[in-house]
Amino acid sequence: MSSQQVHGFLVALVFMVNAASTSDPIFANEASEKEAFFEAKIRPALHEHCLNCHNVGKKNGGLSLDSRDGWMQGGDSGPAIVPGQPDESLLLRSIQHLEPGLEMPAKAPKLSADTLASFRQWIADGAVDPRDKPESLTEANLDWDKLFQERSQWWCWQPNPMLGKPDRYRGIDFWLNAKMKEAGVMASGRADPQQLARRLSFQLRGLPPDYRDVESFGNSPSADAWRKLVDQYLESPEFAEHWARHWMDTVRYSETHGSEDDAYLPFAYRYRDYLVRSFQQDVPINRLIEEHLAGDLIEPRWTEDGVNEALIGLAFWRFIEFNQTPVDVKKEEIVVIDSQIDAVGKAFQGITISCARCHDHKFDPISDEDYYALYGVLRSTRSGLRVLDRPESFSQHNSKLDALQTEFTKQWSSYWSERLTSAEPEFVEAVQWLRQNPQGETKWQDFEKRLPEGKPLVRVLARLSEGRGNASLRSMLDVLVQRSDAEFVQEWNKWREKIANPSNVIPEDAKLLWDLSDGDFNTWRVDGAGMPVQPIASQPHWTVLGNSETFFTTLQGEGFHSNLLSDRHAGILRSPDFVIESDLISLLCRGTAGARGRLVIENFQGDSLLFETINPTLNSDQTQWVTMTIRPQWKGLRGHIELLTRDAKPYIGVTKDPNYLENSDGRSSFGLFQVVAHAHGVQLPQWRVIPDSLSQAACDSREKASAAILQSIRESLGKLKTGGGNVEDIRWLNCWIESGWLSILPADSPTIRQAIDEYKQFENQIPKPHWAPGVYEDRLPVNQSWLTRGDHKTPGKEIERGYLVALKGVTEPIPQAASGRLQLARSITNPNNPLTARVYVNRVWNWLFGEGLVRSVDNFGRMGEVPSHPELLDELAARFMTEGWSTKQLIRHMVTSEAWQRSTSATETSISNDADNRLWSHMLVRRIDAESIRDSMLCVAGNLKRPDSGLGTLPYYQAVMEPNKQSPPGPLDGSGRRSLYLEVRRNFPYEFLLSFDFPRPASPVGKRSTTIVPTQSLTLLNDPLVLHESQIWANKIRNAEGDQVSKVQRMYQELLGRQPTATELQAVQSLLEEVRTKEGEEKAWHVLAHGMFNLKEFIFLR
Amino acid sequence: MTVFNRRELLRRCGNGFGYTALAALLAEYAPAAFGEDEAAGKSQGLHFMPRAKNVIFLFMDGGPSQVDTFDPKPLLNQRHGERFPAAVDATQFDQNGTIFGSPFKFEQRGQSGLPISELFPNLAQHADKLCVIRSMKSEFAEHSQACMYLHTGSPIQGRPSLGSWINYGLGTVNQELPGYVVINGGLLPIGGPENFSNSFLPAINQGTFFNVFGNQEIVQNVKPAFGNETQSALMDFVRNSDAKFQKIQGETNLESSAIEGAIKNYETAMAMQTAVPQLTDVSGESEATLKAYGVDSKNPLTAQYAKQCLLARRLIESGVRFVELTCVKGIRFIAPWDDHENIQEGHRKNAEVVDQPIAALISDLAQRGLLDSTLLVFAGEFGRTPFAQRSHGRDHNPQGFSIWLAGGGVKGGFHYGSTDEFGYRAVDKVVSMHDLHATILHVLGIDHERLTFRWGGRDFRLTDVYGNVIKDCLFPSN
Repeated sequence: MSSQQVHGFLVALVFMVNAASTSDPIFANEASEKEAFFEAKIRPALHEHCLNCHNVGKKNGGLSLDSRDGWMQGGDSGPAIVPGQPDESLLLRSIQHLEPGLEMPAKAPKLSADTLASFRQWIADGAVDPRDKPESLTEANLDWDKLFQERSQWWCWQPNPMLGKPDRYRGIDFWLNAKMKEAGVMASGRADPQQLARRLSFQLRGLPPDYRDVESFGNSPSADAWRKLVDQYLESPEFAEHWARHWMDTVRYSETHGSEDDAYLPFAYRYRDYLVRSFQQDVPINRLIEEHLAGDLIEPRWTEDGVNEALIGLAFWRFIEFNQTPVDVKKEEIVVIDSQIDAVGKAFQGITISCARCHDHKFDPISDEDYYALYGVLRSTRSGLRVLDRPESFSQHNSKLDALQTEFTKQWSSYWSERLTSAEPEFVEAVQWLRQNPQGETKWQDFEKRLPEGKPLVRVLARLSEGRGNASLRSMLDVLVQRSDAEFVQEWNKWREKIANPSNVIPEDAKLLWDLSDGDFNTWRVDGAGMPVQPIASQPHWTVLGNSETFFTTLQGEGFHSNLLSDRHAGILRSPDFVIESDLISLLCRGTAGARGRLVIENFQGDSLLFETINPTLNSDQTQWVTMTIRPQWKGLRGHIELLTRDAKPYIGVTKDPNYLENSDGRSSFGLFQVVAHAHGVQLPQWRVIPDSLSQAACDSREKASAAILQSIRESLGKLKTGGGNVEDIRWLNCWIESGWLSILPADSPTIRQAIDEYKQFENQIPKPHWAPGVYEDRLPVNQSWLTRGDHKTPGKEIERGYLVALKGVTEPIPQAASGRLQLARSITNPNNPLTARVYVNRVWNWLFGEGLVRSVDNFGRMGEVPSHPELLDELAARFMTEGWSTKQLIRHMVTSEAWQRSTSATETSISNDADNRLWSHMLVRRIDAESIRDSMLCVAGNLKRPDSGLGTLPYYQAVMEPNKQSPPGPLDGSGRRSLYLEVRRNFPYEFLLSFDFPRPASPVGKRSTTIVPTQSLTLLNDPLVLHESQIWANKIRNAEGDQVSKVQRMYQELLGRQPTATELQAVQSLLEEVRTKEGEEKAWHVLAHGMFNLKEFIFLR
Repeated sequence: MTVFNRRELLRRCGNGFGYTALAALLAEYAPAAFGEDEAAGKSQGLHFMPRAKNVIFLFMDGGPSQVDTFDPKPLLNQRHGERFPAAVDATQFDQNGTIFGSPFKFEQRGQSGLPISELFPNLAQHADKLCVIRSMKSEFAEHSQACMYLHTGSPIQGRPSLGSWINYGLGTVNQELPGYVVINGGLLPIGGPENFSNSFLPAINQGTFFNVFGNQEIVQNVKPAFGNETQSALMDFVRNSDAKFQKIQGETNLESSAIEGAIKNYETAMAMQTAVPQLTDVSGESEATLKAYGVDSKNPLTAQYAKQCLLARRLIESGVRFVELTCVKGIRFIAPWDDHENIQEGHRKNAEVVDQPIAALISDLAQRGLLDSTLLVFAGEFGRTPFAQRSHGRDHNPQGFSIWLAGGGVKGGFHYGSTDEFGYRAVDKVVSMHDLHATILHVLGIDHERLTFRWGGRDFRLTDVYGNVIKDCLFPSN
């Protein structure tokens, strides 16, 4: 850091503080001259730099400076001030950095010379301090407004003066050369062309160059040839892969969630592939950021395959670690949202917003209110998978399917109306048979064998009386079959009375939260692929299960069903939030093929252990009550209900099957009628299925009752035939369909089969959706209350959703019905946002030059560093925006500069005057990154899979750390895939990459650390992957055409991008010779290849 | 030119003290407490007179029950079976039963009379060396967060672990060995290897696994890939080529000395290839020693933990700063102390595995004069409820539990703080995880508030913004 700049800043700061204090009339009039000096110079400085740590509450080092007694008494190291004797005063010595280990202020730059002089003068004048009692450091006392004003002066918050002023552009080399001249530093010359080509290849593609490119550029290294090579690399698919990974570092990309089971974030890999495509196509960075933050709220970006890329960016919000089984769910939400806020701040704005969670930011103009304003935005955002395809691809046949289904219903009801007209004898006979052949104690399996052949209705009724099917229906059959003739009339009437007053109302001690058959739906959300947008309104529908034999399964007349046209239609049904108050919550619902009901509490996504009871799998196509058990600690929290088809699950907790995602035919469904909150022991209503007409039928004989039953079925069928039929009819018919009697696919009706076949043809054309992790807007956005010290148990006033006050010039008001993500996205990509473009161009500079112009690439705030070349940073940022936020264009600017092409050998003046190379007089020597090391080995061995995309490959583990928690190791060579395509698992990062500083996905990493540790040497010497790849490479070379010399030349060309020297050839030959004599030809080449992978020249770029 | 940059480079280089030239430049940071060669390897320097140089962390995975081990509560036995009268926080499984008296007898042990339950007959003989903290408190009732909190001071991933911080702060004394070793008995804490992560600290500070279960290589990649002669031919080729490469680049700037660092690492790596097998080969230990640890125990799990303890001593002896022992696999498939079902049977099995080996470790360290310079920490991620889970188990309890310290500078035969009359909540002299961390650092001569690392624009420290050294547990320093 340039200390001059910091000093300048501090001087300005202190000056402002002073100006503010001296203008205070109270002090000016009443205080003595010395007190006035204290008030003007010392008190503000104490506040600004000391009192946070040295107050009576928090006596760091035992010292409090908030009262006279405090410093007189002093701390662990004795009195802080000896009035009149500045040089004897520990306080002054500490702030002058004369006391080793006590340099103050701690972890902050030294105070300005002016401030130091003030302290000296104050102490010399007797250290007059009017403060008899410790100052109370209340919020008011700290005076946020004043601090805010001061802190907003920091360079990164200032508008970019170059914006819209292209006449002030001078180019990279101008700014760099100017500073070098000023400092008397000579620049190094251009690097050797072969090295340049290698440097460029690794920086742009993460792979060694093709030697033909090196050679041809080396032969004529003109500026034109350079630009051509640059363009060639920029357009290569390998460029997009390498640069997508840079971006992934900054968004903490991970495919699992950590915690106990390291559960999957399904389809995360789609985000990785999306980034590769985006960098390949050079999607403007402002657009990319908007997609990340609010891709669901902006214009879609369609691929040729009909995928909306914008939605994939939303996965950004989902790369979070969360605890699988938190006892305190709200606390968990705070951790998750904090990680999101941290990522937005660092990745796109280069500031540490999440520092303001418990208190106003310690250094930057960011208040805790800012924090909770942003918190509200994310709290109003829901997690979930998103369907990427065009909606019409799922619904294009909907009207046709609808018509076909109506037609089918007509045919089917006609068929059965007709059949039932003459069914009375059959029915009576069946009842008779059952009366004469009671099942008694016989097991069903044995009883079934005694049933007469060719009498299907006997079987249906037997099955019903045996205990299957609806209870009301069973009780009816009980009367019909079991009762004696003498009892019959009385029992039949009793039964009619009973069912005439069915208990199908919600009892008083339960609370009906929603009834979707009553249109109680306006605050719910449906998202997904082709699903209906509302509950069944009028006409009855069939539920469609493509894998079932009959295709149509049951009739539905109420509630919401995902599969009224197809169970390929998939997605999520989501309730609005409600406060959880009951012991139990029951859903009257159905679901097939891995569908799931969930109660999502405070946006918590986990589904295991504690949460199993509120994440039931729905595995019955018949509507039934599914009850969720609420734990006492969840009462009073916010929650919402979700029903999801199999593939819409946002989290795959328990399965260890990596192919879970791929092993789906896309068919799954759910239906929901009612949501009821209730206590234990409450009887939930069972459906009444007997129609009124039947319950009113007084019958004095079994025969008449049978006739009445058949009559009531025919009536219901009749209504269905004409497009009518109410809920009662449908429930009644469903009973008989379920019983197996009113078969959907009667064997003797080819027309019905044909109708279904025709339906199938269109239904089969509904594609399987593409899912990706994303978020949704909440239908009813909420604000967050300010939390004292970040603790959710002490909420304060409500803070309106918004963004940083310090960026008020670019923020927009948030409509009541919106979460505010869109406004957040626009604020960040607004060209007048002083941070966004600066942060990005600085990142790119860092990736290409090895250090940023601002070295703290993720922190432009007060604790970060100032730019070494502010004008250059501003020019690059302004130019970048004017040129359409193009990454490729920005890279072109940088790598075609003289600066980037300089040699890594420093000049003497650079060594003497600028040892840190802050002036960029030469290029830094750099170690290639972890992935480049691995990928290069695969590349030269000819073992690299190209092209590539899709589901990641599990990394290889030498030692399985936790056999019960860890997936089995993947293949040693990762199936020849680039490291980008290896799964990033939080709990089990790939050790090979980790040892070369592959970053952990905990927080944005704009600049990887590059360590040099012995583990790396051990890895390159002995790791099985290195042995494996060197063997393959050696075999390739050994089996190639040519003599030994040409083979060795080829190895140098492939790995190091150059020809070996004569001495090197000799060294290689003697190595080959030595090993060959003892261990044979094959081993000799293997050892050579292995040795070359261990050369420093391989892993260092010059 | 700033000193900062030299330190930066040194921080990043594993073989720090191989850089004699740089070490000389760093003389101003040299601490007085340790020998000169150690001084050069350190990154931050000592803040106080250290009481110990090394730590052995005996991790009791799953959370042993305080009221069955080191915190006797007769009231539980008196009121066994009654309804628990005090307010209960949400527990992991919400299957809270009645008051559950300890099935294990407590006795006063040693001259100090420190009570220890019958679970640890061997360890009890060292009662006068143990400092039991009975008022530990964690914030998390779930394993993965609680384990991460115990290991890193944060419930979520992304922070360096205690061992990494210590190694970063003190540097290594033996360049042929890693400074932070995890002796993996087959069960990692829930949350996996990230519990031992260096996170943003330089990679040299990460925990290196010594895998002592199954038939795998004890240390990954330490076995030479080729025979001696071939390897030496290969190394000659690499050395010569590297020397030329280094010469071409020259020593013109600090960045290029990274190349030199990488070259020198190969010497270290080669040395490690020899040093590690020697270290892990216990054939030179006396019969009596092996027997004392229980290497010959009929219980194969005890025998394995005995090997772990013996290896821990050998590592400490060789200068490894921080050694953690994870639990052996065989009792449960994860977190063996996590006795939700049957505390009596489960805790007995667990104690049997660790009791003899740990007692032997203490004796052995004492005999060799290493106990004074080694801090032993025996801790789980939380304790267990004094009321039953269902009828015979105990659920997780972060509100109050016991751990013990022994060795370097720690008061023996001593207990600190207390839980309430039921052993449920820590009520007197409550010790937080940050306090424990601060105390461990303090014992090693490090001020927890001054051991910092700037990353992502913030100064991080192990204890975040918290932590008080529990000085009452330590003998007054000279």
